[in-house]
Amino acid sequence: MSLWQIIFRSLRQHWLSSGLAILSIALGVALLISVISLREQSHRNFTQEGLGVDAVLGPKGSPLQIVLNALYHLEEMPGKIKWSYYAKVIKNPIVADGIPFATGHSYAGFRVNAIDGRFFTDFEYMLGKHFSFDHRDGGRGRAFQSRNEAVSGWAAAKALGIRLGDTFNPVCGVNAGDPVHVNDTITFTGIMAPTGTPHDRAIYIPLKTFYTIEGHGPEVSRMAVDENYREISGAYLKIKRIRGNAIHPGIQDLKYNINQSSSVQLVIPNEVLPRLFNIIGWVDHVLLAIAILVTLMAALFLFTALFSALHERRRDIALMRSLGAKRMTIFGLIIAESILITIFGSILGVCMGHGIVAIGSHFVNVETGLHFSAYYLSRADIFLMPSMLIMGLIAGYSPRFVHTN
Amino acid sequence: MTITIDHLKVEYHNGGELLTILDIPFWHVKKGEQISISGPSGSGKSTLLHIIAGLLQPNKGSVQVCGQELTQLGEVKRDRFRAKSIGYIFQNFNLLQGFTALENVLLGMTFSAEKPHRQAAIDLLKEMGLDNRLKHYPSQMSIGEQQRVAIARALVKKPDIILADEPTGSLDPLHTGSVIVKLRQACEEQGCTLIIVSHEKEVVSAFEKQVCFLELNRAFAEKEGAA
Repeated sequence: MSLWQIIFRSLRQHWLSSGLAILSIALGVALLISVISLREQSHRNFTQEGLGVDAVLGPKGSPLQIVLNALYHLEEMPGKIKWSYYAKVIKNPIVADGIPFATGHSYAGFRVNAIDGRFFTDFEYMLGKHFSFDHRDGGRGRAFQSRNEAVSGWAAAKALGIRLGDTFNPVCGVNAGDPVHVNDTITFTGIMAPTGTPHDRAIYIPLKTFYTIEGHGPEVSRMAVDENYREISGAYLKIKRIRGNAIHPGIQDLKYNINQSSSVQLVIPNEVLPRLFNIIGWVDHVLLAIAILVTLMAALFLFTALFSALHERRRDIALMRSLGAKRMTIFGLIIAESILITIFGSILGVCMGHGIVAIGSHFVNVETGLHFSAYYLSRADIFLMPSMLIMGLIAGYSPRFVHTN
Repeated sequence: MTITIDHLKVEYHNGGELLTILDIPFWHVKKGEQISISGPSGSGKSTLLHIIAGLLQPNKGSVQVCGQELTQLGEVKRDRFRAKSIGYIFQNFNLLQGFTALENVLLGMTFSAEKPHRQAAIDLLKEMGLDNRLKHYPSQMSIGEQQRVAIARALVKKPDIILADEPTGSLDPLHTGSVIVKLRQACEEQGCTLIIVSHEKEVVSAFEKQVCFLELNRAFAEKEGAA
């Protein structure tokens, strides 16, 4: 019989204690992996260069509300800004580009944003990445070209079963019971390829459509033709870069100058989002602490399970010694058994952890449009396995002095 | 000589008191001899077997087994010696419960220098009349069958000495006779020395050479005398 056969027989013989130890480790590892993975991916999602936006020009109000509305299609914009102000800002020498938008409409629970057509050609939702309608990327159709055309984000299209040629009537507002623009039927001409960003969860119509929708009244209609009257919800701004692809430092002066106004403000997402994380950071820390505690408990259980298994096996160990097994051989058997339990527990835990992320990511994606990957390798994945192996080694090593003598 | 014991002493400290467990001035056993040892419980019979097996080290004296002075050997060498030269049979058989009969016998070879030989283990179990029990676990076998597996395990590595500590203590008289016969036959065939410790008169009397442990172990005799 090989030593491996002896180890596996022993594991089988003590299947209950071994199984419970494996399960405990797996649960601890799964919890730790899922918490750390979701935590890291949340940070990454909320800080990925402001989703391609260096700054958002918007009305006065809560900067967080503006970011959540403009970039994450949540909340409501606190007001509108004059087109003329936007036109003035984009002439600033450090502003590379601006894409104006108007929010406030919805369809079947998804936001309908009116936006400049350059959003689909010039806008980078991540560094160097433009929206695609190519079927090879998962997109379909094309960008809107006329007043009654619309484009759907990938997640919205998937959730609503939107096909090219389907039509809809936008709702004037984002709350249940808001009136529907029954006389404005818009046709979907394109579905954007998935981007893993909240843009997947929105529907886009031409900016001019916003002004010409029936029911908005003559004042809004006038905005379509007269820029002096025109208003927008805000604009995504791209700031010029300096060496090392760093954002032009003049953005702070620009922000300061704009924020002197009583009706307009410049919001830098990369400043606002970390603040949001600081607010909800304690939840994050509590989760992490729970995960660490569970893992420690699993470690303790491993120790207890090994001690109890070895206590049961004292007779077996004595017998093997009488058959000529060296002390080191017995020690090796115990260590190998401990490490095997740890490896099985860790592998099961890693699979379970990524499974939890996969399930969690589905719900997060449906709710927020943020993309979490089950295949994301967090720091926990990298450091946990060696740490668990060391733990298994210690757990196997400690009973040596008690039982092998 | 297979075993030579000279001025052997085993002592334990019990609190401040020094207890002498074994005190054997001289004893030798020739190769191939079959000896039964009898004596009262707690007289040190099992301790003597442990010392011959190299599981315990005496405080004083010399223990030569198969040409090796065990008191001079380190633990690893004693383990190696035991794996190669000693076959041990216990009163409670001590079969591993998670292993089949065949695996228990193979375990007898696992720790010796010899490569485990599956066919030899099967043949030995067949000789013990356990052809149809190879894949059975101890819990699925009778007590007599378990003891035969334990004997096969001790014999399979062809040791120089078989040490049997109350091997029939848990058997009924019918099985006792057959187990002792099989054990003696197998030792004769392999030419190995057999030392058997037993309480049972029938077992002890089956051997030509019988040792009364009270005579062998001076320490116990003195203690009994004192009492």
